[in-house]
Amino acid sequence: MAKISDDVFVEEVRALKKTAFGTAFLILRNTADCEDAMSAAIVKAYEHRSKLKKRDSFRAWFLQILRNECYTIMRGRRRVVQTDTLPDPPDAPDPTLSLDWKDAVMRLNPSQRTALYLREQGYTVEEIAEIIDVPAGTVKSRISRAKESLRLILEDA
Amino acid sequence: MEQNNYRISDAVPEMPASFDRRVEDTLKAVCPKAASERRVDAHRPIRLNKKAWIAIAVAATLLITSTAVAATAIIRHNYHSPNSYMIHDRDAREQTQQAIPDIENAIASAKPETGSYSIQMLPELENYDELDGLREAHGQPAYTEEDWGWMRSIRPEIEEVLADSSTIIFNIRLHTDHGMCFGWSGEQSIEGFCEDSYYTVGDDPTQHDLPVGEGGINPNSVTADGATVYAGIDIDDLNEPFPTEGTIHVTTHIHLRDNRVESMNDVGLLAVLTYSFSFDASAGADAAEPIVTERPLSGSVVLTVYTGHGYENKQVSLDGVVLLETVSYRSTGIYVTYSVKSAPDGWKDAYTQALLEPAFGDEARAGLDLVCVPKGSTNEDDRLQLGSPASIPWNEFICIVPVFPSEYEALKAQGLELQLVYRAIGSFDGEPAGTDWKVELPAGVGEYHIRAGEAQTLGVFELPLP
Repeated sequence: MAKISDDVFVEEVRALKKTAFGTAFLILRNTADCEDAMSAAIVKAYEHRSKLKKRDSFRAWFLQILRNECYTIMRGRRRVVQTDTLPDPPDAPDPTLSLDWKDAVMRLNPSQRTALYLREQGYTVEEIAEIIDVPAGTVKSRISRAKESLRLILEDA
Repeated sequence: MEQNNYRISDAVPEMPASFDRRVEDTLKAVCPKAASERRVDAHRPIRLNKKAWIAIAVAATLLITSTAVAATAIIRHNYHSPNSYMIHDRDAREQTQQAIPDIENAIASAKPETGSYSIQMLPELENYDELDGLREAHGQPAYTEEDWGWMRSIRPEIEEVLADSSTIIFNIRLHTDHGMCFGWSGEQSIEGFCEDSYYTVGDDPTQHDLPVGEGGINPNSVTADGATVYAGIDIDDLNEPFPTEGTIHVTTHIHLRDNRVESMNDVGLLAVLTYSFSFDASAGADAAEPIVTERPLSGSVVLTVYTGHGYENKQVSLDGVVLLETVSYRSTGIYVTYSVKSAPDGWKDAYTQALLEPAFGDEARAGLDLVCVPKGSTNEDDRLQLGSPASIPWNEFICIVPVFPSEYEALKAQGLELQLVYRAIGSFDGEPAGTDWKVELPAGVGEYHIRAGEAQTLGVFELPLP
């Protein structure tokens, strides 16, 4: 298939940019890094646009590239913590007190945040699976666990 | 607080104008004509031609990814974790030149043997009545043989096993003659997840649980004649040490579910495929015995302690605090773990949690950062991109250094250095946060911006290579 045209490329990127910012922010939590990731993703997507099989797949394809750029920027500094298994130190106060929503969301690991966020944005489980490069079953599992974790974190807050 | 009152997007700030500008600037750089046509609010003129802009942008990307480094024996890998490695099949790994010989050898050495299988359709399951009721309660049509009977012909075949002392991952190919029926939207699309799995060793019939943490149909694997079910198990989730020799017999129950049902429970369950296979565990042996070293700390550090109500920066003496460093040499990388071995009176678990909170250089986070560079290097671009396991206990710091057994020898002459660096919160919502600073987080939805403060070096150690 021929490359998508420049016009289509620009149109698709512009249509995506709010979701792209949210996706990047939930991983990087830093606006400047989000800008770097987005810029690098645009360049990479443009260079490789001939690999895109059909326009319908642009969103998932682009967000996958963006996500990879985010993780590149993180340079392996991430850690994934299962919040529902994280024990509280015995002498620490109850962490659910006065906990705000943002803090609760940020206590999820980046993959869970991304999966939940993209689902909210109307992406299908299959599209999210493609974006975050895991099986669809894992996406469902992460969404399910993320919701459960949020519920536990916020239950008494 | 009710979770349902909020959305994840509530935790995302408004897209800043600077992000929008950056998008437009980059679009103008890569395709100036198209990017200029609809926009009238150009922010600044682009004076470079397209090729020059692309060159700049690509150079910036290369700087970020930092693969071009000073002459060292380090081989750069695009590697984050064993799970992310195994989600790509061998062909894909080779085509993208991401294959890591040591991991490939470990996979090949496992020599999985295809075993036996059976399949039970929904009406044949013991708890059919309960499951049927569940379907009805969720508005799902009743199971019919006409719709789903074709699934009886699905045939499993073990493809690859990667097992070492940190992880067990297996990929099982599900063959079908039914056409595209796995993992994607469609009238008769199904997904698979390995549930209720266990293993036995050699002739010993004792069953040991294998709790599958991640898995499902790998979207990269779906073809008209089948798909691959992926299953990842974290060794730390096992009840006992995983053997490093002998034949391991695995039995897994692959729950085949209606892919249109977005639920991880059994609302969409259509069939259970029971499959057994075996593999040689010796491939998972570590390349060397782990090296455990005590790392006494001294002086003091400003820690950011989570109080339960907010954050507090607190100057804490490190005199008498001894970290235990465990370096494990696995086929999937060198795992470096830190924990607090001993601490003086007055040291609290909250300090341990604060000290070992991994930040890995995240500017929006307080915590510990492990920097791994060739010994003597002061070039920030020489930093290795570290990976992380799927989960880390609150009282440990773990990272994966992407150096593999066949690379040890070449690296010994130069050596690798580990720098343990801690950063407390340096500013909160733009206000400086020094020692003894504290903040109460407001109840309800709020937004605040954290910046990490100055790096406090806790110690510089050489990474021991066997």
